[in-house]
Amino acid sequence: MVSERHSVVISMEEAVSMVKDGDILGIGGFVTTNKPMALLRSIMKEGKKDLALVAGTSSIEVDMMIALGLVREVTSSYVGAEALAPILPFYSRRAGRTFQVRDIDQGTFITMLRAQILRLPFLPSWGPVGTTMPALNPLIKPVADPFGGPPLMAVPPLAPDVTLIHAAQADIYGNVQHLGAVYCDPMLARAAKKVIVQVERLVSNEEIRKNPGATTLACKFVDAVVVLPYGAHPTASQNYYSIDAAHISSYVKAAREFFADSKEPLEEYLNKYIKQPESHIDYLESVGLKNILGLSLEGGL
Amino acid sequence: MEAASNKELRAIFVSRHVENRDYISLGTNLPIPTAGVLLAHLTHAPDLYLNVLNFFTNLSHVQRFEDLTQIANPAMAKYAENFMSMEEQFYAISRMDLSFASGLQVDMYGNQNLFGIGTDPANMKMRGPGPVGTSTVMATVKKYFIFINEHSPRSLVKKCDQVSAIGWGEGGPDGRAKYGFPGGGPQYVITPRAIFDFDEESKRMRLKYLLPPSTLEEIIENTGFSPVIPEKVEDMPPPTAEELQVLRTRVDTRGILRD
Repeated sequence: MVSERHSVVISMEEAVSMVKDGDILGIGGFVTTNKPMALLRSIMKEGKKDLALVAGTSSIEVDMMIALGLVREVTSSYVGAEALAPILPFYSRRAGRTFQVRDIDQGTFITMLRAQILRLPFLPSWGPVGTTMPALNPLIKPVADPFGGPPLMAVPPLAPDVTLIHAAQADIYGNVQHLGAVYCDPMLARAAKKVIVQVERLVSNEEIRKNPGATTLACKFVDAVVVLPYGAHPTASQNYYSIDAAHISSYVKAAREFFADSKEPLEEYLNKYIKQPESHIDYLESVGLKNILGLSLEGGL
Repeated sequence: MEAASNKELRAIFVSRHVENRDYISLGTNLPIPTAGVLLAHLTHAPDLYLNVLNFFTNLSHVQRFEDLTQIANPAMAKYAENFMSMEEQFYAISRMDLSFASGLQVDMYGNQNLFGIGTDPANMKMRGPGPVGTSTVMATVKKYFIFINEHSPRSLVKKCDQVSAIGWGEGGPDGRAKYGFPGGGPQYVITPRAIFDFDEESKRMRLKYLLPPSTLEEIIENTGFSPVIPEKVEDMPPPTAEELQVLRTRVDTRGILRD
């Protein structure tokens, strides 16, 4: 019998079942670009809880998960949406209360991932030196320079149980091409125990082999692929669509009102976009074709 | 031509401190310094190498910029010459000439706080957005400017509640040397009311220019510590017609610096 190379393409339901309560969840992308929103919405709808989020530079996805009470810990260097929301309400107000923050900066973050990838017990980092980061994050400890320089700060390895990534395209074997910036995604994938990639479109293996230099994650680092066009919405997807600023602002407004005088707008938002849609297509329906296609980077629609 | 607004003056100050061939990283949510760098790029610095988001680019061929407020937007990626990972971005810092920092609080030695307000790590009153890459970048980059949108005793403080990136530490000419940082430290602090540099000996913030309509009394009243005040505070040399024209017609096309 001749065996065939097998596909790693799975359904949304199968992908969500790979995430367990209590998991350390790696989230790829950068602030409001290339966030694996469709996978995260399903995880939120399922109510996976006690999650430790590892999102180097994050935005509303982390804030929403905190709002839903699903988060026990956040490791991030930034939670905000640039000019749309310099500070996000639930992250800012509930940090240290309903969840713990592991304070890091981006340089320290990649050093922790690198320690994990190289299977080292620690690595030194400049980031925390002289700052109050070690007081805020007890995982960071001073370390002597064996070559005689001033002391540095050591950081431990960081290993997500499951990392979620959004990318442009993949073949059925899990060879992924971002067709743009990769951010921390390659490191988050290499440091994780399992990796799920959601893609805008599935392409043939021949298409991948036309330009192997464009492959950003070789299939060795990808356990599963889920095909979710427009899956990064309301964040941007490189080469496909820009951020939905109005949608992001509507979430931020509802979240701010939650802490001001009215809990209803947030409830409405979460019902409409997280709880009620039965599928990713349902979600896109609730956003509306006109809104979705209006974000196209191709323009003209 | 209409006189320069306060925000335009700050962008022009940045532009004048950018040299051709510099390699500069544009930070997140800092539209005024971004405008300043792009103004330099379209006037005297066509060979800038820019690090926008996660790619390298030269933008001297761009006729008009559409949106200064959202650089984390892939619409800008059409200008990329080289994509790089976050890790590669840190590999590039040893060649970086200038970066920008910000803070919820900045102290008299230019140390910054983006972590949040409150001195008790276990019970902070308010969480900030976080340091992004600043802790590591400000330790290692050749030079940097600090840019804050509020000049008050709340934002310019004697001592930061938390410190997310080091300026001149506890001051003195060796304020940074004791940490062994490879980077050169902060050169200027730019606020809506004034521009400061640092006294060579004490490394304390020193008033350089007042920005209109501020007065010296207002600066003293609104700064949470005593900055060094030189005997004579000079005015910033006024913008040229070319600076204003390029800024308004090609860089800040939406007029956000004129609000």
